[in-house]
Order: sequence, then structure tokens, then C-alpha cells
Amino acid sequence: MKFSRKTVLGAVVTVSTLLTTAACGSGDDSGAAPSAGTVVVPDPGGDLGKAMKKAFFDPFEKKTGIDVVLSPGEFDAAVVLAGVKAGAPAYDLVNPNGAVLKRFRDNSALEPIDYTLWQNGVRDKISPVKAADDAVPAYYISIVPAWSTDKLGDKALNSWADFWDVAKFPGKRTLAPGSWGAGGATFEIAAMADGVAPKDLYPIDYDRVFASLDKLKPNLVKFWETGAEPIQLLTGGQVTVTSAWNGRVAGAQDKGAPVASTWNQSILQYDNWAILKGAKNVKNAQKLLAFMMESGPQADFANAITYSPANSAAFDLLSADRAALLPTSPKNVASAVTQDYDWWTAIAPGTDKTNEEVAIERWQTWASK
Amino acid sequence: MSVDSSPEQFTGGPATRPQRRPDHRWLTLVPLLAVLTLLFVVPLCSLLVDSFRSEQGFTLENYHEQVTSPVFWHAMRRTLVIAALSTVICVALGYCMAYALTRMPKRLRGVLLVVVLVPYFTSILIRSYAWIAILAPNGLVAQTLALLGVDTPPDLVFNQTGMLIGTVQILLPLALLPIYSVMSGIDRAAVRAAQSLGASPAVAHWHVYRPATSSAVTAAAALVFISTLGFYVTPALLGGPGDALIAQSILVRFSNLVDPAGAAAQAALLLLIVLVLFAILFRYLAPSLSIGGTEQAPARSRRRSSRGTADSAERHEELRALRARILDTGLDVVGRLRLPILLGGWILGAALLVTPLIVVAIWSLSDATYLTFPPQEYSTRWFADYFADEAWIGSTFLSLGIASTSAAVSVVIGGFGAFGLVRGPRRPRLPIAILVAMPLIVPPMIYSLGFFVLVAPHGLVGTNLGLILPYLVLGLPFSVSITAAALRNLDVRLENAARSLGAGSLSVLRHVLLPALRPALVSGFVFAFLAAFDDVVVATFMSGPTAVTLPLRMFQDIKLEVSPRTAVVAVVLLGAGAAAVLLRFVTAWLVRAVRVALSRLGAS
Repeated sequence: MKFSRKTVLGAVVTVSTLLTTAACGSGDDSGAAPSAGTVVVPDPGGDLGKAMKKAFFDPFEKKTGIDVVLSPGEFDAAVVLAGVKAGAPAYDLVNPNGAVLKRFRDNSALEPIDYTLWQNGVRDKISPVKAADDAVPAYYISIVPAWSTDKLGDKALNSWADFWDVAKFPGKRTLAPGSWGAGGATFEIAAMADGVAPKDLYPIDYDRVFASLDKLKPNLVKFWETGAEPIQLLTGGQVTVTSAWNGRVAGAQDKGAPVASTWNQSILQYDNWAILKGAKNVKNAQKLLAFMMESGPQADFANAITYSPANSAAFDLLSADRAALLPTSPKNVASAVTQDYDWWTAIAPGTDKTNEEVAIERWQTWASK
Repeated sequence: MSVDSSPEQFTGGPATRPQRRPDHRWLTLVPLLAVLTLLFVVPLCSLLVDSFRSEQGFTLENYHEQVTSPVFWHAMRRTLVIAALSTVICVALGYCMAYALTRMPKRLRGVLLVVVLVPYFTSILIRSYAWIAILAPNGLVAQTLALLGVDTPPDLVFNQTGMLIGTVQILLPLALLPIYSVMSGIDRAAVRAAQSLGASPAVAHWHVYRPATSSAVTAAAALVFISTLGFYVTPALLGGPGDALIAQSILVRFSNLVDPAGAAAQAALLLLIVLVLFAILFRYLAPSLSIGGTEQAPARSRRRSSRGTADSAERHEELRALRARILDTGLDVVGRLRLPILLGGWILGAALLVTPLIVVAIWSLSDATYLTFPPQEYSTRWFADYFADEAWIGSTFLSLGIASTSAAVSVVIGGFGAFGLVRGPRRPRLPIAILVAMPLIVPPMIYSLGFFVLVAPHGLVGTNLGLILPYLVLGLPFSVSITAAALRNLDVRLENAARSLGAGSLSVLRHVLLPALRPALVSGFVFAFLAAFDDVVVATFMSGPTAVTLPLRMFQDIKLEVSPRTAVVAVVLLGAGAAAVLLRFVTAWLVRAVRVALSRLGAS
């Protein structure tokens, strides 16, 4: 019997075997350095990850000797909850958004926060959203309309209605998928584009939202799946206008990307810090949390990325120019809409589901038409 | 024993051993079944049990909710259509390309096989982004068309076309390699004989060559079809606003609605539909699959013809003659066009496989922070960034180590399993074949969740073993099905002859099976390796702070900040692969040179 020599395939095997040996050699001897213990935090990566590292984690390591291990495992509420239920949470400290936090609470997956470790008076400075027994607001972010200045030149959008106005601002659009529920703020955006006043946003009028989305659909290329994608689609030229988180837009501008955005009708959201039940390093997580919420690190954070600090005292340490770039600065927040997590996490009338769950299911029905 | 009664058993030669020894060949199935049961069936069942459980006890509510939901059925139908289309395209293209390969000089084959395999070492994510750069309205294709005077390019991406192109590109090697590994073992003498007896090349091919490849074609089709069902990343990136496939629907249920029971119910329904589909198709495929037994088909047709009246038999005969004539005319046309078809197949296939890589290679040299194509400025700063980053290098070696370990184990267990499947008792073949295919059908997310929940309390999360075990399971469908396809084409008489001449099991394995199956084992290894090396989903669950696999790191990176770094990783891996191939060529040449020199010395 005749068979040809699979030179290539053989080589692949040889190489991978060689590399196995190398990998087994290098795989196990990491993390041997003595330290005052560790605390495991999900790494949000990108500019947000860099800002946290610079403002919170590196100074904390220096001060306490406790290693902050950034785990790039995906922060997926379902996966994290599965870990807590199995008694092996992947992280000690997590940063869920306002709506996801509710799921953690419902599954009693959170440790109470030890405020005795906090500096005096810090807890009272946490505002406008107050610190709870099991979670603290972490930072404020905004979803803003953003566009490519390459394509639109000097023309600037001023509202979500402009976002829908393809005649005035020609080009393709993208939005966050409504299957994220509150996460991408797409429901609020579509309602406001149709003329719903910010004070009348909740309860969300689904019929109006989907009618509004139907109007945009011919110009909607896709829904973005990650926070980085809208900027990628803008700079890649596949879309002209998008919704995006303000920090992403600012980060892209810093890197010279031809993008712009407006604070008008920006949608204010916030993430929370919370400690997972059954976490291996609860004590260290408590210490890290207490450190992060102090005004100094909070100001450093807001200097590193254009997200607002949760500790209002940090504004005293920020320059006026810097504060003007943040979502909660008085001028920016005046035209902003604050996302109502209480409504999103409330049980929808006549069902046993939360408003968010109902919204996601209605979204799927609409999207699969 | 039923197996021993098969006519192939008679070797004709004088036997030196007693004819009837108990057949222990089924024993080779034991490790396969043990692994699949412990590492796959148990975790999956524990999850499925959950999908029937509510606070009050047993419930069908989760299933009722899915079955009555139009969203679920839309996604299901779309998924099945996309899967069927990509299967047809992949197999047709793969068949042409594999056949063309076997007719090429050996050296060229090596080079072209690299072309086929190389894309696999590039993360699916970055390849999908490359497709956007190629297919988007301002992309390469549109620009080329504009040069040719076409002003309104067709919509190629963010719709089902884009999804299909991305999927075919990813799955084409999966169709090509199993077919090729069987084709390269076929003796062409029979085809030449048929041609010398007056058959045109295409007719000879159809009647002599094709039947020998049919099991590989079926295996390839099944692999591609089943793989498409679980696809998530490519459809999400290349599909349009309303193009969600079933895997995305399951993910939304799992992640966004935090409803693992509902997700498990959807996965169970998907499994059920696929199994029913295969059961229906199986009736038609059984003769070529030989899982159901080759000798059943003639028996059935004999029964049919004896039952029919003479009249209907005549009509049947006429119909057959007509069909044969149409077939022959068709084959004649194809035969005359065979060169353009084969060449066209290769050009199309190579274009599909390689264009995204060119884009990726150019991106890796971009100076920009984002992936703009073509980049405005070039630099090597992202390479410097990668090599300076210990975390990235560590992840690279970790992934290579874990993927090759799991692939090696899966080839050994899968190889023995394939032997037991093909040569062992006939009756359990179908259930075992289905069981082996299951890890491919079950969306990885569901399986990973089941596995995670089962092993998390035992401290396996974040360890190498915790990653290797599920990857072993994901590699088995490839190693078993590819080896089994090759084994079916291997004449059992070879083994029997060796045995009758006194060879023990080990020497049969070493001198008959291993050499003959080597191409299949190697491609099984490659696919098992890649199944692990390209995985993001299992890693999401099983990675820990100290064990982050490369694809997961890339996935995070690209999710958070789409930068040329992922392109750099792809290029580095490609470079490593190319260097290895080169090394292999050089050593082969050296060995040959030394051998020639030695033989000359001996001769003088």
C-alpha cells in the first residue's frame, strides 16, 4: 500500500510536541513569590483596565504588599454565578452594572461590605447613588452618540433624533444589541429618538421603541457585541454613526482616531463593586475596596480615564478642565438621562419576570423577524 | 460471533492458528467509552436534569417555553439552512481541492497543504474581522470592483452571505483533510484500468474512484454540518441585525437572561432535532457509511426487486438506464471541463483561505491602535509589545502545551476507539457513532457549563488538567471519525493476513495499522489540536488567573480594545509553523544527504 509522506502534518506534530515540553517547563513555576496574599479581580482590559491598574491596583500593592491578580476570564454574570453556586467563585471582587447587580443579590451571591475598614466619612461621600450594605457604586459612565469626523466633517449630532436622521447625517448606523437589556441602553435610545421625553422614558413603551427601530433598520448594519466594536466600526469605515461609551470615544480621540461625540441626551450608567460570597480572599477584597473608594485613588482614576468617580470628594482634587470631561460634571449631566436600574430590575406587571427579561425576550422576537 | 462470520474473514491461506479465537477487538472501545461517559455524558446529564427541575419537582415548563417561541424556531431554521449550505459548499470545494491535490507532484502537495492548514492557526476572531475589511462596502472587494467599473457592489457582509463566507472559510479544511487523507490512500490502478477499458476519465472516476471516497465525503459532510450548528463568534461578527443563529440564542438565554435551565432546554432540543435529522438521513446514507453494514444495502435491493412484478422491474430498469445516460452525459461534460473545475476550485478555495491571512499579516505591521485597512503607517511596535509581554508569551506556551497534550491523548484513545468501532461488533456501532459526534453538536457553552459545575468544587478550575480534560472530549469526534473513515477503507484482509502469519496484536498495530493510518491519525491530531487551540468557550469557564489560554486572552483583548496585537499573535504562530515546516524539510534533506554519502562510502 502506498501513502504519501505528510511532511507538513508531521512537522506540525513535531513542533507542537516540542512546544509542549517547553510549556510544561514554564507553566507551573509562576506565582511562587512570597506576598501578603492575593485578591482576584476581573480585568476589564483596554483603557478601563489600564486606568484601574494605575489608580487602584498598583498603589494598593505598593501600600499593602497584597497582590492584585487580574484575571482576564470573561466577566459573564451567568458564569460568575455558576462559580459562586459551585462554591468556587472565579473572582473575589467584581464590578457588575446596576441591573446585573440585582441578579447577584437575588442569588445571594454577595458578601456584606465591611465598612469598619473604611476611612471615616468616605461612605457618606459616595453619591449621587448611595453605598449599599453589599455593593458600592464604582464609577459612572455614559452612552453617547458618536460619529466619524472623516465622514461627517464639521456636522455634529445633537440628539438621538439626529442619530435617526439619515438625510441630514448620511451613513450606516450601529447600536448595542437590545439582548443586553439595560446594558447597551438601546431601548432608551430608540424611545428618545422617537421623541419620548426623558422624564417619560419609564416604563419603556415597547411598541414605540420597536416602531422606532423599524425606521432605523434599513440603515443599521449590525448590533455591536463588545465595547470596542463601535470604535472599530467607526474607524474601519463600516459605520458613520454609533452609540458608544464615552470613555471609549475619549480613548480613541487620545489615540488620534477621527471620532467625535456629544453629551446631549447621553445615558448615564454606573457599575458597582461587590464581593462574592465564598470568595477565597474576602479579607483582602475588603481592604482593596476600602482603599479604592478613598478620594485620592478615585481622583487618580478619573484622571486616567474619563469616567466619573463614585466618591464625590474626589472632584475637589480634580482640575476644572478634567472635571468638564466627565459624565457627571454639572454641564454634562444637565442634558443626560440617568438609567433607571430600579425600573429595569423590577418585576414586570402581570408576569413573574423582571422588566429586563421581558425586554430581552421582546427584543429577540423583534430581531428575528 | 457475528463479526467472525463476515466473508472478509477468510484469508484463503493456510492458517497456522486455530480459526476461532474469541474476538477481543471490542476491548479497544473501552477507553473511548469510559472517557465519553465520565467527561461528557455525566456533566451533560446533570445539566439536562436541571432543565426538567423546578421548585415543585419535575417540570416541562422550560421546554414548553422554547417550543412555543417563534424566536427559537426562526433561529433554528436559519441555523439549519446556513449549516446545510456551508456543508454543500465546503464538501464540493473540498472534494475538488483534495482530488486535485492527489494528482499533484509531492513537493507541491506539501506546499498546498500548508495553504490549507495555515489559516487554522489564526484565531477565528481576527479572521472574522479580516473578512469585514475585505467584504465591507469600503473593503477590498468593493474597491476592486470599483476599479473594474462596478459602482454598486453587492452587500457581502453583515448579512447571511457574510456569515456563509466566514463559515466556509473556517470549515473548508475540515472537509478537505478527511477526504484527502482517504484519497491519498486510493490506488489509482483501478481507475486506469477502467479508462483502458474505454471509460472516459469522468465516468471512470464516478464508478471506480468515487465509491471509495464516499465514506470520507459523508464523514466530512457530517463534521462540517455539525460544527456549523455550534458556531457563535463568526455569525455574531459577520451577520446582520436579524441573523441570530441558535448558538447566539442559547447564549442570550444563558448569559443575558441568566437562565441556564432554559439554555439547556434549547440545547437539548437542538440535539434532538439533529439526531432526528441524522436518523432520517441515515437511511439514505447507511450504505456508504458502512456503519450500518455494507451488506445490508444489496440485501434490501434484492428483496425489493424480487417483490416487484416483472412489469415494474422493467420500468425500473428503463428508469435506471435513463438515469445512467443522463449521468454519463453529465459526467462527460464534467470530464471535459475537469481541468477548469479543479483549477477553479483551487483558486476559489485558496482565495477564501488565504485572503484574510494577508489582511491579518498587513495589520500586524500597522502602527495604528485600531484595525484600519489599509493602515496609514507601518511599524513593528505591536511585535515588540507582544514579545515584551510575559503574560502573552506565557499564554502562548500554555495553549500550545494544553492543546497538544489533549490532542495526543485524544488521538490514542480515539484511534483505538475507531478500531473498535469499525472492526468490533456491528450492533453498537450506530449508538457509539452518535455518542462520539455529540461533543460537536452540543454547543460548547452548554457542555462547558455542565463540566464546570461538576468539577469546580474539586479545585480543577484554573488548572492545566481542568482544561485538558474537556479539550480531550472536544477532540475525540475528530480523531475518531477521521481514523474510522480511513480504517473503513483499509482492507481487513491485510490485518487478517498478518495475524494468520503469526503476528500478534502489537505487531499488527505497528506494522500494518499505524503505517496505513498515519495520514488519518495525523489529521485527527491536527483537528483535535485546533479544536482546543482555537477554543474560547471552555476557556471562559475553566481558565483561572494563573492559567489563561491564548485564545481567551485574544478574545478579551479584541473585545475590549480591537488592536493589531491579535494580528501579531496570528503572524507569530504562522511564522513558528512555517519555521517548523522549513526545519523539517532541511532535516529530511540532511538525512538523505548523509545517507547517500554513507551508502557511497559503503559501496567504495
